[in-house]
Amino acid sequence: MTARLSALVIVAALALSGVAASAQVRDTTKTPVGTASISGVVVSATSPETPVRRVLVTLGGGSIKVPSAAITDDAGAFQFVNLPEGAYTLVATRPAYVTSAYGAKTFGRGSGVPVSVRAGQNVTGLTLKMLHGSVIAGVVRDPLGRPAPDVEIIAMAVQTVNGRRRTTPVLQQSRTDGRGEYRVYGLAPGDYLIRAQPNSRIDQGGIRQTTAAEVDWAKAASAKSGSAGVAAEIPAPPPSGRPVAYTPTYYPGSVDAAQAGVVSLGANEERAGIDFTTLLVPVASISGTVVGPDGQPPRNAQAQLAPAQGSTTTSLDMLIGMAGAGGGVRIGADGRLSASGIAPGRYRLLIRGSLAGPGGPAGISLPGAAGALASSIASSMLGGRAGGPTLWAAEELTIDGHDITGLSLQLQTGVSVSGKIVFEGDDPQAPADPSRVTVAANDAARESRSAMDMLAGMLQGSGGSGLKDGSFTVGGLPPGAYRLTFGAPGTMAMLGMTTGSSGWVLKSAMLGDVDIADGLIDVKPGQDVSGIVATFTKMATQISGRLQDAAGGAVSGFPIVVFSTDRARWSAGSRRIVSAKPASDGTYKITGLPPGEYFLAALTDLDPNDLYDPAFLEGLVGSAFKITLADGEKKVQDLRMGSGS
Amino acid sequence: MNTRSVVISVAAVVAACAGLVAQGAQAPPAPAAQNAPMVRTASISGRVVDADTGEAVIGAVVKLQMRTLAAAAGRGAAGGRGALPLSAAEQAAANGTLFVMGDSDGRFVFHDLPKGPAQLSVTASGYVDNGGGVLRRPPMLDDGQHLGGISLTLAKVASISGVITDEAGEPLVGITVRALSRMVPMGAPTYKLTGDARTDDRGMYRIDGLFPGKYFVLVPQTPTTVPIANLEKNSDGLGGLMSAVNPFIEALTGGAQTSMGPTGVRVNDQLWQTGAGVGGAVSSAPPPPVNGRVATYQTTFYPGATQLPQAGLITVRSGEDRVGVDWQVRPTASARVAGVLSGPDGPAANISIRLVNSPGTNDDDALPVAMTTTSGDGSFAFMGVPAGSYIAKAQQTKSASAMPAGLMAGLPPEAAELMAQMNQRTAGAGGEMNLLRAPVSVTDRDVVGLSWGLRPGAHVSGRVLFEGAATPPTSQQLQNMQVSLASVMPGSPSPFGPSTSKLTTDAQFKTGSQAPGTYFVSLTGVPAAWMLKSITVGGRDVSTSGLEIGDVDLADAVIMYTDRISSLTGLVHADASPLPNATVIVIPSDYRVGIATGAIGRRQITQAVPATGTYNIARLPPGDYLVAAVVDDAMAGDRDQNFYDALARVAKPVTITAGEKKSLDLTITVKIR
Repeated sequence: MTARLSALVIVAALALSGVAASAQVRDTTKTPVGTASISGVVVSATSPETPVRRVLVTLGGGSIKVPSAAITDDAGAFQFVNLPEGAYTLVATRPAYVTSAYGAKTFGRGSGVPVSVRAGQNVTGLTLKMLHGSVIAGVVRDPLGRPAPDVEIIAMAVQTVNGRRRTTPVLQQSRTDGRGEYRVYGLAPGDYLIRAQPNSRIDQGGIRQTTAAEVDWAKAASAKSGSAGVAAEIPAPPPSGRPVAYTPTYYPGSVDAAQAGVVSLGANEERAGIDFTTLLVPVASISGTVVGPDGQPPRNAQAQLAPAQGSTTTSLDMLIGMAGAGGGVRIGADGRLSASGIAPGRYRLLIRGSLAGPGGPAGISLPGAAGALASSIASSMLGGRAGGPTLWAAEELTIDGHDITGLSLQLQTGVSVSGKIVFEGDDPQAPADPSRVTVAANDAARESRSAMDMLAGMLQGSGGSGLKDGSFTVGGLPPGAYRLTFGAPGTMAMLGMTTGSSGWVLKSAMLGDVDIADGLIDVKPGQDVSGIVATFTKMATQISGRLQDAAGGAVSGFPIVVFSTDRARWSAGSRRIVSAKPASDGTYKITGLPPGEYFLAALTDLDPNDLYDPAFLEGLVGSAFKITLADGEKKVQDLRMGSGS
Repeated sequence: MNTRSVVISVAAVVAACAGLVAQGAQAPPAPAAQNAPMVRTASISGRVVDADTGEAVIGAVVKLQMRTLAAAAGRGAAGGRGALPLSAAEQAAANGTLFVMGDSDGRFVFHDLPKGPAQLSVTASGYVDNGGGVLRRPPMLDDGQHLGGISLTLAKVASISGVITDEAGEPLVGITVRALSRMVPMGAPTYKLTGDARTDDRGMYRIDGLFPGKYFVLVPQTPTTVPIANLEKNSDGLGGLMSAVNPFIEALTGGAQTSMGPTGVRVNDQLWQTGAGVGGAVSSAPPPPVNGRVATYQTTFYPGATQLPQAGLITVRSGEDRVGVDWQVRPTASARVAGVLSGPDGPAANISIRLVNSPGTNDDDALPVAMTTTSGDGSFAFMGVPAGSYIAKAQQTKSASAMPAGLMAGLPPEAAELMAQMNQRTAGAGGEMNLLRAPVSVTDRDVVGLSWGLRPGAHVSGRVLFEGAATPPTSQQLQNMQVSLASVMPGSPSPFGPSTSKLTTDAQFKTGSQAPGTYFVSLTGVPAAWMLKSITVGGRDVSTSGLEIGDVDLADAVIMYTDRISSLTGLVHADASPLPNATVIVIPSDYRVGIATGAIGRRQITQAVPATGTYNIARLPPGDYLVAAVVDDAMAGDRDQNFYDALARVAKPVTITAGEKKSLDLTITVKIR
């Protein structure tokens, strides 16, 4: 199981479920053909600048539905013609170079500045700079000092935000060749961790190491019975060696990302000699029994074994771990539970089951570790529907190379969260369909600030959709804090972001007098939460305006962040924290914010992962502008950059 | 990450879902005697060695598979001496498999085993299994027995490496380089894409893990063309989802630019991309026009050939690192091939069409020259077709699509093809399809205004006869039988296996429509009292040559079964002792008939000679045969006509008549050519 594959599978699973949820056909009008053009040249970010040939320049945005692309010629030149009026983004990609957007402040980061064209306008002479990527190369060896081939190498970008280290896997990856050599190229300057992900074709039960005592015993036994194999009195064999397995290892040699060495890369730098050794660790198995509330074996149960929250592993470990170890937890029809090949660490064993017979989503099983992850996603997305899991049991386990036997878990009735979905000002002729609203309860403890963490939180939570009658229920939740999200019809909500648009926006989700749409709900054992009213409205608020410099000229390329003045709303995935990027004429537009008081700030650059970091937001407050939005209010707010910012 | 790789994984997930049905139908592990407590006192030990040097292979992982182990564990492992921990026992129960890692001298030991056949295999970094004797002849373990001295041999893998540059001499970065093995396993040469690698930022590639053998090395390129209209129609389907997923990916990757948009260029109303095509996820930027004409990269073989006959065949030995396999990939001027595709019911929308080389060049469906998808009105256009003679292939299935048609339209052609094939297979027996097989010749000018038609594929119908006094199969048994048509070419073009069709209660059958080609016909589910006697179509015996299916239906197939079981058995002698690892091989006397098509592979019977020296071919239909016992080494390498001719010279002729139990002793031939 490679991380790359898992990322793809995640996308694939989302794509598929999204199709099922929104199989409506939109209008199929053709892209209008326009009269504007954009042309320019791609040059290297070196001195002197030299043209870069064979760069794929992708043009998106405007009113074109399918991004267009052009290839630079030997002089680095590109051109897009017949463009309709609009604002377009330009992104330059070339293998081994750092992908760069036009106008981005930093190579490889940020989505750049859109270029606006009017009908008939020819924008010429744009210059896109491309930086040749840096390289990390080295040799991976096994504990015996021999080259380790076929090991997946994942580079993880490291950023330190407010003293906290955040790691994000980058897309550039490598695999060791027959000599154990790897080479990750095309990297943007910055700090990286290097992680070796051994190819674990043998993921079940680990491998036992042959001991010297066993070899001696076998020699004696061979002498007694002869190779022809006549049965004779052979003494009892010595105990088998411990099971071991190769474990993901960080350069220069730790299983823990927190102790990994950081490789700092400058621009266009080649760093060779990042050599390290994969670690062989003792693995253990766990076994025990699972019973339902009635003491009988559960009819339909599935288990996840994921690194425990607060353990030093990263979310990447968690996702890979869920796919690997979690995929290997078996629960038999007799309720016997077993898993093996588990590396040392702290884990949370979460079991979900249902009283219903098989046939629900829990019955879906795809082959392999990728399948385990995909079915985790599927079950967490579909879990709240009829027949989904309603029972749970959880236990924290510390694995240290020794088997754990005799685990005993009893499934308890999970807590359910229910309510109704209301469309305010709905058109009686074409009523909105509540069954196309997605509802998810995400494990808030799992979520921290990064998108990877949020994905992990989603997988530990439960989800579902509304019913035709407007009711919704998300069931089977273990006690804990959850963030409830509601995805409007025709949109996809995930990781705290929503894409797609139907005109409907969530106005509120009232539980009694409290709006929980941005907050957390505390689910206590045995206490179902009911009576939540989620209201969607078409009376969307809007903030629009123009970003200007001190002289009143248009300023583009500076992201705008709008966030609630209420610090209690600064949670991961909050609807009251959004960002927008002004077009090249400086105009911006943000729709659908809930009514309330907000800070509005323009930044020089923005990493989407920073958005929900309270420390980051706090840092913006001083230079932010306050704005109040009433129900359905549309405000125009121009922003003027201070000379110092 | 690009659109294509994501789309492929979407298709893979769909395929995996479709596979669920098949998974559920898997048979449980073979049940053993239910009551007797399983004794676990057997053991086995040995050493893993390098086949070339005889030296220990350190750190190899040896896998032991025993059906009886699964059965033993399932009953709580009663009677075991060193009782396995529960979890390990459960592990074994699940799959009957144990793994050990050899020590620093390559030695390994398994103990506390039940009796039964022990299947051993071994993996080690940098080595491949060379098909050693133990693997083909699982040793039998008895209670209390220790079987020592097992030698597991491994061959060092070979590698091929080099640098790929473009026409300007700049390294081509991140492109796929593949190895195409050339083997002659069954008379006719077959080509199989085996290893692959990506070039790095220096244009360097290294294909590792190659079996010793003969290879072509190539940069596969399949320009694909997708109508923009199809993509736009889909903006709520796949395309829309891509743009919906993009921000999430961006967040996951810390805001890095991960453009998931198409990596192709727009040429009028088409999106055109070059890339590795089927199985290769990476798309590369198309080259700029050459002399005002659209240029393309085409599949290029080392040392720069575009056709297989001009390509260089590289032979690598065990452990060899072949370096300096460098070549240059150059753009070539190309033409546009366009027209309209229609089926029996009118314009054929959203159909994937591929251009493949005409047979006799590098006929290989795995390396299409170009691919496209038809628009809603059946019109199609291939961009970037180099000069040459090609065959256009397409198929249209009538089964209900597993995916909404709108979504299908947005799939890249190769994914659409995969989906279409899957639909065909999941449609079950009697799946109907319309086929396109049209020749097209391209020179230096666009070929436009083509009008291609999909026609129904040919069907094969006939009956099964059961000749003899034994009780004929019941109608229930007949309904459980399936006629199977499998392409004789190894590496069947369909990843979903042969097509099958059920028998009716009166032993009749009619297959679904088939693509033209040569097929091997077989019947499954026949009770053991019956043995295949002959397969004829139009009175002609096709059991050796294979059945050639063209455009027209074949209506008079007769599959004849007999209750007079004939067999061949005997003792194998050798000049040397102990008996070397040897194989008994039986081929029909008219073996040459099947060599050209490769169908000989389906008619030759091989059996590893057990330690007892007695071979037993329990079911051998009546006919004239040639039989030989040869050492395993003599079976290695190409099995071309020379091999079979040489085999025929050392073989004993034998005629089997209906119901005959023939005995024939053989002497091992060490060298046959």
